[in-house]
Amino acid sequence: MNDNELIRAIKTGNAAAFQALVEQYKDLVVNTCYGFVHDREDAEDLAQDVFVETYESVHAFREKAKLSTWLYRITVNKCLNQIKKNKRRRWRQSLQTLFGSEDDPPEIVDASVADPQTDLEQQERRNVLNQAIAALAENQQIAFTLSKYENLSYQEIAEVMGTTVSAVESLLNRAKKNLQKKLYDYYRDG
Amino acid sequence: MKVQQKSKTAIDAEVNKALQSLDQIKKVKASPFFYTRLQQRLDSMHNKASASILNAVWGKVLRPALVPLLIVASIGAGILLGYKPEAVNRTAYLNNLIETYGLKAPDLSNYTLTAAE
Repeated sequence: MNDNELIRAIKTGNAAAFQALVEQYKDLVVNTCYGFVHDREDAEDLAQDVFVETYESVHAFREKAKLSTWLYRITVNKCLNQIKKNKRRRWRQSLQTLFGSEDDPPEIVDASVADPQTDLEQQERRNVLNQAIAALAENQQIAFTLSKYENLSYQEIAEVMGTTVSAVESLLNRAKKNLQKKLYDYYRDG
Repeated sequence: MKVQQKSKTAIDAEVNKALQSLDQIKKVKASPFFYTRLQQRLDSMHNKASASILNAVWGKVLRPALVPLLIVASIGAGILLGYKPEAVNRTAYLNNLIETYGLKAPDLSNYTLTAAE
């Protein structure tokens, strides 16, 4: 069954077709989420959210569009929302800590536990890099993550982001320069 | 100056190593129970949706309609209780009794006042 046939079947309430779609795209969605949140469990939870939204909004999907592009868009939006939520939560927690109230335990953000690689030095580098990527401007972060974690082409990234190929090229160049600068500052001060 | 230059080289090397670590990224895969979890979540969402529809019907339609319904029912009950068909048909009922048991009604004409009296 191709993508359009799958979508048509899901629109008629075919549960097996939805299962086939999930099985086909779950790794793509989970890996993209991981590229943004750098935590396996969070990535799985976000991916679940993505497929729930896919299920609920499948009737709005235009069959001329590419299914993977649509899924990437939902995924990116969910991830960015989650990152914003996490930032707000951390801000509230830091305020609570400042005023001596620590009802909720602080959120543990430790990518090393979830990362498949075991080399500690490499882990440390990855953590530093992840922090630097998270500090990029939103558009640069999206372009960079889709390029590095999903190996998408400039054209594909442009389709997901709804922009031009040259804009993506420019975003990626700026992202690399900013990353180099942030990493340089980190290693110089650290 | 030489120390600074060396330090810059070391920093550049660290930066390059960090950037190169991106090339060794392994793709993360979904857990084997991904779809099962998703299905459970969708089922519980459907159950909640059904419950919320029932709640909405109860809260927005049935509960507001209950008060006027009770008033109408009370009025109807009152009317039914006040309505005594045997009282209306008492004469017919008595006549029926008289006929059934062969009773005779007393002649009350002697006791009836006439216009002359």
